[in-house]
Amino acid sequence: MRRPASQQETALTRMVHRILLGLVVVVSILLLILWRSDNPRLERLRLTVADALLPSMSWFSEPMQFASAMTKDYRNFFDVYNQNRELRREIQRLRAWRDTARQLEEENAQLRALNNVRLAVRSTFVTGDIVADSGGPFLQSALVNVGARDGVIDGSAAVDGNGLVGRVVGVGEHATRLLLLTDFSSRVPVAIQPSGLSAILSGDGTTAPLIEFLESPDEVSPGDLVRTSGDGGVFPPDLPVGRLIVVPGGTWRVALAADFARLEFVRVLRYTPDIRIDRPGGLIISRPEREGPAPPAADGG
Amino acid sequence: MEPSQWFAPWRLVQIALFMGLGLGAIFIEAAPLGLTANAYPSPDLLFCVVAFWATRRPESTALLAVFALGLVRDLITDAPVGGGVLTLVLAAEFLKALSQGLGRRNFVTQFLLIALVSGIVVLVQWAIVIALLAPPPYLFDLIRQWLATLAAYLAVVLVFRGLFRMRWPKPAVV
Repeated sequence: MRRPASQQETALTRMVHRILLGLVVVVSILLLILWRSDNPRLERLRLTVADALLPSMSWFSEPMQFASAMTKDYRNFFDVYNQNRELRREIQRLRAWRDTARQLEEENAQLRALNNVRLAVRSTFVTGDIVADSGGPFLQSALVNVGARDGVIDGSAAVDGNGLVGRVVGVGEHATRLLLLTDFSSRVPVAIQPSGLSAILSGDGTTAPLIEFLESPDEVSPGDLVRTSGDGGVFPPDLPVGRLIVVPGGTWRVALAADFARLEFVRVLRYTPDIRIDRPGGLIISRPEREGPAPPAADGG
Repeated sequence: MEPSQWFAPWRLVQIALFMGLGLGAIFIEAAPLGLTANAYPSPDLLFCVVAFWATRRPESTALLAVFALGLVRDLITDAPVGGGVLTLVLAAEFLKALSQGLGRRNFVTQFLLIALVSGIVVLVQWAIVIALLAPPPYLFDLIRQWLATLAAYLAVVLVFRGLFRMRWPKPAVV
């Protein structure tokens, strides 16, 4: 017996819906597997979406940041006149310092020229606005509105006026994704001053990340400065990270120098490490590939 | 719904409106209001919008639209990609299936069901992260996010009812 047309149509809708739901579930599970395996294609997709949506996101994030800052600083709002005077005074002082610094720099350059000193390439930086954050409890990250067109490279360090904030883990054309120091998967090699001991700063979702792999804890004390060590050649050395603190239970942590509560802009460093030759392989100069078989390597380097 | 209504203009307009509101929810959710590790987590605003729409306008809460919104949210907010969208799609389908019966209940019952579904969504996301051996967030933070989501849902209901005069669908004629 044939079913009425309307019933057939409803059955067709239901079947299409079920097939689509199955497909969506399968695609979601595949995406989860790609996410867990840190697939670079997924990171590219993430940054492509961020690049495309960045202008629209700014429409929302800027007024919200403004409203949030107004709420936080409502006391300062009433004190704006005094702040303005204080800032103008500060500008005058800084101008005097700027002139002094310029004179010193010129003098320094002349002396260097006389001595024929060659310096390592200095770090340059690009400043960007934070336009989005992860928001949820799963990851501590942020999206910044500078990208590959501004010279940002993957792995670069990001700092605020006080210290290290995190590192670049994804670069789009116009957007960059930062992994904050507080994230569970953040690991940064650091040196503790004045002892000079090396350790790893390990994020654990709290405001004060853990210090791990510290060889001689007896040689450090609370209040010691923590700076990047430069090990691994990803971050420049001597970037301020924070100060050492000890929590009940004897665990060493770091009170971060960066002001995460007022983080609106970050400087992404464009750092190229010095070329260091610390093993025989470093003596081999890499050349562009030529046609034909490569000549055999000579013994004795 | 009959296949002839799949691409009906009124449905396409409603889907477009739903997607616009969903995108707005994602952007608000992602606005950088607190970058400290102990900052209060943003509410799951996209879930609030989807839950409201799925119960009031189930015929225009298109599966692929929910999937697209969930995927964009996962990508923008760095949530476990796939985990957020999977739980959102399943929650939307569950609420769509209940929409007829839910309209006849009082608001407290409706709210408790939304709270339960939202709680399950958060727990399943947490379980997925653990199952994939990724570092899981603190349960305390998840509970705070869940509470923020419930508060945000009330705000979404008030705003949407005021803005779009959206009521429960009329019961089907038997």
